[in-house]
Amino acid sequence: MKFSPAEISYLRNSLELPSPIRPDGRSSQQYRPLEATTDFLPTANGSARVRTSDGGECIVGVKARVVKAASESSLINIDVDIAGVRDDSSAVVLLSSTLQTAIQASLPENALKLTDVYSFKLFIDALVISQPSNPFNITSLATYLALKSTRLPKLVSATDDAEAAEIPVFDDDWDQSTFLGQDETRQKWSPPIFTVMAVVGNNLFVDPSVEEEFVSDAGILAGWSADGKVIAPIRIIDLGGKRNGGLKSTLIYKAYSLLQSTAPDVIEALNAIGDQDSLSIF
Amino acid sequence: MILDADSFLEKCIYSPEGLRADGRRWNELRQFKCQINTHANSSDGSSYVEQGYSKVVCIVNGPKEPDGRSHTFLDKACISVEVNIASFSTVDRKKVVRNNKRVQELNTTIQRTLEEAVLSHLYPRTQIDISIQVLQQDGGLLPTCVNAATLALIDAGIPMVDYVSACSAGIYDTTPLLDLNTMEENDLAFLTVGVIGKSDSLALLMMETRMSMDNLEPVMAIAIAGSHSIRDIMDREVRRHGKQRLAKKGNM
Amino acid sequence: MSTTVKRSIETKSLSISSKVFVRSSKSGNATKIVREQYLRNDIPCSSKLCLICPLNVQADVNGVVKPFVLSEDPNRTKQLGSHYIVIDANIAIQAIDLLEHKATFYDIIVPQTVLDEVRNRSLPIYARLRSLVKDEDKRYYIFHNEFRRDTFVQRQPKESINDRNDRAIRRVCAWYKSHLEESVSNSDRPNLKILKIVLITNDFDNRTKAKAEGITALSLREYIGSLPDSETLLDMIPTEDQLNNKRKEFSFPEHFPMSRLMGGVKNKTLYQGALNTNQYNFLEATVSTPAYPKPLLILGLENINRAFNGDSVVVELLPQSEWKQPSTQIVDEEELSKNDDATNEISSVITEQERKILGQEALDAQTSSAEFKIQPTAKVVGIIKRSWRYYVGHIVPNSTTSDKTSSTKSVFVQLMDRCLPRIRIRTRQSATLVGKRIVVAIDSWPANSRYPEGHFVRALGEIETKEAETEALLLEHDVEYRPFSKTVLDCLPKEGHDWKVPENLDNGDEQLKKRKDLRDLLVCSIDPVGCQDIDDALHAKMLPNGNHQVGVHIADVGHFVKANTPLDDEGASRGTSVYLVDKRIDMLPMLLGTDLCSLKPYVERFAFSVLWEITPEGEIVKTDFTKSIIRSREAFSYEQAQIRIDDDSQQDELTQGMRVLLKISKKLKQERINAGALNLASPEVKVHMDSETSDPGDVEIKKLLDTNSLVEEFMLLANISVAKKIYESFPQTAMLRRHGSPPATNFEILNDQLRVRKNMTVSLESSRALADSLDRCVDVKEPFFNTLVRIMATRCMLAAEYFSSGSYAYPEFRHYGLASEIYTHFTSPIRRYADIVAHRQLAAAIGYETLAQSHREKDKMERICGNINKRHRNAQFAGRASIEYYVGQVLKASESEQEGFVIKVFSNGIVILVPKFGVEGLIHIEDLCGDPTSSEFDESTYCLNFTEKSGTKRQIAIFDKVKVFVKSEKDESTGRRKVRMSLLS
Repeated sequence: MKFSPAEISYLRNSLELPSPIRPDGRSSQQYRPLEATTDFLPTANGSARVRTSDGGECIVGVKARVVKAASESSLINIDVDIAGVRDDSSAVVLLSSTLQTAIQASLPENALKLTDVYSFKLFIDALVISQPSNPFNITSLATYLALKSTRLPKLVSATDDAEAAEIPVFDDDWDQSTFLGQDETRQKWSPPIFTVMAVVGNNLFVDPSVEEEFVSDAGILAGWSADGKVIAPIRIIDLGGKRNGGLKSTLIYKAYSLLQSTAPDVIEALNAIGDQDSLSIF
Repeated sequence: MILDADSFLEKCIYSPEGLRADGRRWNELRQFKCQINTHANSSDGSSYVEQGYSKVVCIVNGPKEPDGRSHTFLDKACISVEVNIASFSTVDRKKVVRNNKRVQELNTTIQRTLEEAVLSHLYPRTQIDISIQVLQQDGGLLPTCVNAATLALIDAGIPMVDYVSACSAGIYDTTPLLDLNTMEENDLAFLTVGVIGKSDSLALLMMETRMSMDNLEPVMAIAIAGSHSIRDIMDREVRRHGKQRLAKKGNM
Repeated sequence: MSTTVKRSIETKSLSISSKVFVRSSKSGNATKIVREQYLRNDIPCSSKLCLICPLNVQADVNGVVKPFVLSEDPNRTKQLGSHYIVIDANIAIQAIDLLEHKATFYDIIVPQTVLDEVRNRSLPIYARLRSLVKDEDKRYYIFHNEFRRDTFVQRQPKESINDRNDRAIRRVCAWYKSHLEESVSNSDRPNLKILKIVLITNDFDNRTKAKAEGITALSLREYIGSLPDSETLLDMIPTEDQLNNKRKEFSFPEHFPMSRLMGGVKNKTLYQGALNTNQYNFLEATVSTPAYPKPLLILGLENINRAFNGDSVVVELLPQSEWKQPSTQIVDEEELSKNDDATNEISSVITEQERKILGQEALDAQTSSAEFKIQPTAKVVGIIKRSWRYYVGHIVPNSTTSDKTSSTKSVFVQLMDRCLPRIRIRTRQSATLVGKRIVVAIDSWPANSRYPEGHFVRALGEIETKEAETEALLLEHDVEYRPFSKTVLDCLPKEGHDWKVPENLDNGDEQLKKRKDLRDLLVCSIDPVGCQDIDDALHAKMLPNGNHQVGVHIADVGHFVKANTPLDDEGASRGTSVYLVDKRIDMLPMLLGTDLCSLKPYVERFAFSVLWEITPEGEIVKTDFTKSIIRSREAFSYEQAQIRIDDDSQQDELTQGMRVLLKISKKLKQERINAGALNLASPEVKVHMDSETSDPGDVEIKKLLDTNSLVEEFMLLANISVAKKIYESFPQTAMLRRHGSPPATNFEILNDQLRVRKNMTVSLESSRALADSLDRCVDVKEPFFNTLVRIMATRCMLAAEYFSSGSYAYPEFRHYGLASEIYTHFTSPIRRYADIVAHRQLAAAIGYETLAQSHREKDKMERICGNINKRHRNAQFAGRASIEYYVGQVLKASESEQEGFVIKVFSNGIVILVPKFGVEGLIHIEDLCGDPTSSEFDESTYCLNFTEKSGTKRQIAIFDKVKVFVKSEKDESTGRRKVRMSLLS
């Protein structure tokens, strides 16, 4: 996307104001309207689709497979596929590794454990169909929703198979399956979400649009866990803006408090979607 | 006491009572659902097609500036097809890399099929990108992609001779079966046809299994008839969408 | 064919539901499976009373509407009145014998829910249920309730699948009831009676729920009790579970759960294989697993742990301290368990006798100098698949009390198969069944029972009557002997015996045009005396260039048996004709086998001909295949043909032709022998029947004439030529026959025996080397010795098998015995299904017709081959068993002194082969000498030293020629007639 110098200067100026004006009239902590659907892929264990008003779209499917825990380096595998972007590009690698680390860290220890030997492994595949602005937001939100809708079959065979090998056997009734990270003894687990904020001067804007990204000094990426904490990684990312000269350290604290004020609302809104029973995406 | 049990196993594909494993009869299509203009904000043309549990999204961009020399033809538009098969689309998760041979072949097949119907000479030195996302597969991957591409091209306003509608059909013993799902595809010899409009002209004929000549004719006939039905359903959707648009315009 | 398309989305008669379930795979994965399910309104009730459904039924591809099945005037009993029956899956699985009973069970509705469950649990029973549905007389109807909108039920939260299925079945009952009421009330036939729908289920809970919903529900016992002839039927009810709980006579180790078995097998800590019980010792079995070159030993009842011979089992190795060598003893089940009483409890876990034998073996293992013979032992920890079928046996007389009341009693049934344990059944008819051959089915083998539980199916007749014994042996070998069904017979030509080759060959029939008219050739057939199903005929003709044209003409069965017809299905499942001493069980209906296909003399017949141009030296210049029309000039027996050839006064063209054939055949045979073809002997015995009473009269070893080998050589040549041709055309699916070269381990023992006793060896380097070394095994003093070695060598060989060419690489195609690179069966299509397939493939290869899909798909061909291999084996066993039975009958009349040869030596007995009768007999050590403990068995020299009853010391070794007194004797406790031999000095 190309902008004229006049446009750039106008955008930059209005965003730099002490009480900034965003081109679409949002407040600095306001997300764009989202459209989301969950559980629309019957053959997957969990699925979600998130679309933004500017045409960004991400579909996430979660599938579980039974593995021997000892032979796996990780029980979570995230694969992000962005249309028109190479699989080994830095954006894709950053996206998948960040999500992977954060989800792995937040997931209760035994959430995937089946027996002494066997465990579920989750394959989370995110498909970004179109992405006018940075794909981090929608991918993170779609992954959140997909994981929330993920259900795992119920084990019926014995769990102590360390001595005598036993192949896991599951209840054939899908209705007996349990939501990921949730059983009687445990608190409801929620996956972490990530927010991208654009930095313009001293101001921060959540969920920046393409224009905002273009005039930004940089972006700040930060995570939010469901138990109300800002989580690592908090890092500066490139949003395509052409400025240089570094960021003021105070912005990080600002980002911290901005996140604290927006993230609970976002999660609440997402959970409201997740609780609906939806099976078709259109 | 004939206990050759194995030979009975396969019978569940098509029971002696004339019903398939999913309750259809030999000449019945699966539920065909389609919608156009699903991605109005991010593309020139788009569609979503479900054939049973096969689900596909198609996005068309173009005609536009070509991506370079290799995509520039002096006399016509370059149609480029890219199918992307989501790792979660199959029952067992399977990562399909983009330059996988099967996918490349699928791209070429769909491209050739569409070239039969798109009036590409109207747009020399341009490129039409067709991107297909396969979200879920349960048989009939190729026909579902072709149908979705047709709808998205129509949505993009690209002139075509007529609809290209596609459908598969297979043979069980001597009974032709229409619109196979994965289980049936695994066990039966089958073919896929793509038909232009309501005619008998085939833009696509794909057969990768062996079928005897005696069976070919009835199987083709039912596949063509199935394609015609699909064309009607797609046509209805296009008209529904057109009316809706007109109504909106009228309100403005 | 009409090509109409139904659109599910438009016709509102369809709606969609989805089935979601979790599938646990063998590798331990859990997959969520989602299937669409289309629900419809056009599934008929199939009652002839119904006026609604006929308006709604759908035709199939060919526009045929299935006729309605359920009768207007169905079953009627006093209590229930007219009624249709709905059964559940347990009834189908446990009481299929009753369902098949001709006297009762008509108008049965089998809900699809039940059919699917039966298929998941037992394919054989599913197959039987399906054939019941095909049987028009029984009026069984499969109601696809899962696909009908108003009978489909969705699984409810927390509902078990069984409960859901039970509910679906009750829904079927309720639907039928209201549907028929509605239909009848709409009808203008006021005299229509309201039918009852009766649900038969043994599930108490289900019955209670059904009654609450207003459905008539009965247990199987209750229903049969309401029938007039219930007495005999009640015996056929399978044993119910509660009976077993009382018994605590024995405790087998529990089997592992399936998940554990699968885990162990995958982990390679447990092993899976088929259990093979030792023929001479039912306490010993072996399991061949891919993990070990030699089978694992399973010793003792407890380790065999309720597995049957032939079951697919999972075993666990025993600690090395318990490894043993295979026993050298003979143990008969009947001897050991003779005194068990079926009702009394037995306290000890292992009987004293068993313990003694096991103990002795343990000692043997330890004292044995040959340590390498110690083999790993294992125990059965799970049974993957039962090989249970119908078994034939008889009630052990002393297992029942002698009172003649008809109260229900437990009795033992001793099976004919000596590798199997006795079965406990409960019957009211024990008094009348004693002394009869009966058929039983096994229901279960609970861990707390020493014997498997079963139920009575039917009686075949008095023991030792010809009818009962013949039927018994057919049943035991799983030979289908019932008459052909109507649907099969409907496939035969309408003209019946009047069918003729069309006079006008140019009648517009394209295929007929492709046939070569060979009626002018001087064709004749040579077969055994009295042969009616003449498969093959031959001719030879001089060509102008000095070469001979030789033709083999084979009955064109393919013309009458078209692929995918009921006739074809029947032939494919029978696989082969079975020849018993006094009876032939045909693969194809008589009309074809002995008339229309049979190349009878003086009439025109369709044939499939192989024509060669052969030089006088026996070299083949050209091979042609064609469908043809021939007229055989004469049907000779081997003797007649031989006499005619030998008679110099016969100078007609036909005889000249036969002489040419004989001459060429000798050259062919020599070539084959040079290439290493084997001549393996097995004593082929013929039983002469008294023509009037058809009682067996005498036994004779079959003679072989030159003409036998004449026919044989040309058949081999034809088979090889055809094999090459069909392999060329169908490289992946050609029907071929191979004979693997025997693994050296098979010959280890025989070679050791030959080396120790006779200082001879057989070589296994090649078939040629084997043939030559067998030729060298000659004992000048004993002319029969060579044949004896050949007989024993034959037993070390592998069996030849049919296969589809895609299953093996070309070098593996080799037929070892015939020393041919490639081989098939083409020449006996009347009696072998493999030949029919070869015919069809050859016909397609020469462009005569297109080949059926089922013969060009690899997996379908493999299935066909698997079945005909099994049928072929069973047919051979049945044939041998028949001869054995008749030899026993002959011996009953004439006891005599005969020459015999020792073919096996055990520590407590010897096995002797009597060539005159082709029978083998076992002599126990107790019958050899007065004091069994004085005997000494030298394993390394295969010698048994003992003191005869007369006091003289004697040594018997393998290969020894001995004189035996042969008589047949009926063992009263087992009901089996056995050849009894006693050693003469």
